Amino acid sequence: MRIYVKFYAKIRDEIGIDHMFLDMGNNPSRLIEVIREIDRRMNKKIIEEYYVRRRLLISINDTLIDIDDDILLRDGDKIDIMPLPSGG
Amino acid sequence: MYASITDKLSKLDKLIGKIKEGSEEIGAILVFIGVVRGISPLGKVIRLEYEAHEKLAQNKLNEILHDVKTKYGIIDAIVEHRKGSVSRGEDIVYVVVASRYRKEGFKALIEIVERLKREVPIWKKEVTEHGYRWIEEGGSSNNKDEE
Repeated sequence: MRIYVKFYAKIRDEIGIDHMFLDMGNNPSRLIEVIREIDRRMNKKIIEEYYVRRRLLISINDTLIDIDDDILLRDGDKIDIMPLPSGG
Repeated sequence: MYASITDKLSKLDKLIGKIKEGSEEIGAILVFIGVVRGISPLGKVIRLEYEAHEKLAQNKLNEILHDVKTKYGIIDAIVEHRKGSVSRGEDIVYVVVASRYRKEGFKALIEIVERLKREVPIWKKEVTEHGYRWIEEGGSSNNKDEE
């Protein structure tokens, strides 16, 4: 199962890359598993910190999700990981 | 109603004229202009750099305008927000609301601006003479030396 992950703004700067592909094995993965896998790959506990502090937005296939929902990621999904907005 | 995230804002007088000619019921037009402040805790501001998830931002702005129109019964509303680099003193965002009476117009304008800042996936990096920082919700930030 392959997932595309893209990072935005401050999170992209902190993690040091724009995007990555994750191979998550054969079964659908829960969101928190994907987040932990990103941090494991980058050898930094960044995304989980944002997640625990509720300081991020996540969209799956261009739809914003409630991060408290029990989301299952599937093969070919695209995840956007974004900090909280600061426009205007 | 429309919202856009754009490299170049429209002329404000054209936006006002456009919204005014839309209905004879309009009795109030309210305008919010967001401007790049010249001073920050880091010193003199050179520019703000805006980044957006354009598809999500556009969808969220449309949703906010629809919600506010339904909630307050305004006649029309326009939002234009810059993307990319915006220098100190330049305009960042225009919000124009047309309503029958001023009271619902003021409420609608405030709600659009507040929700824009809180919900729309747009981010800004403040570049000053001493470095830069990503501005976070609520104004907190991490400072870094300018690259």
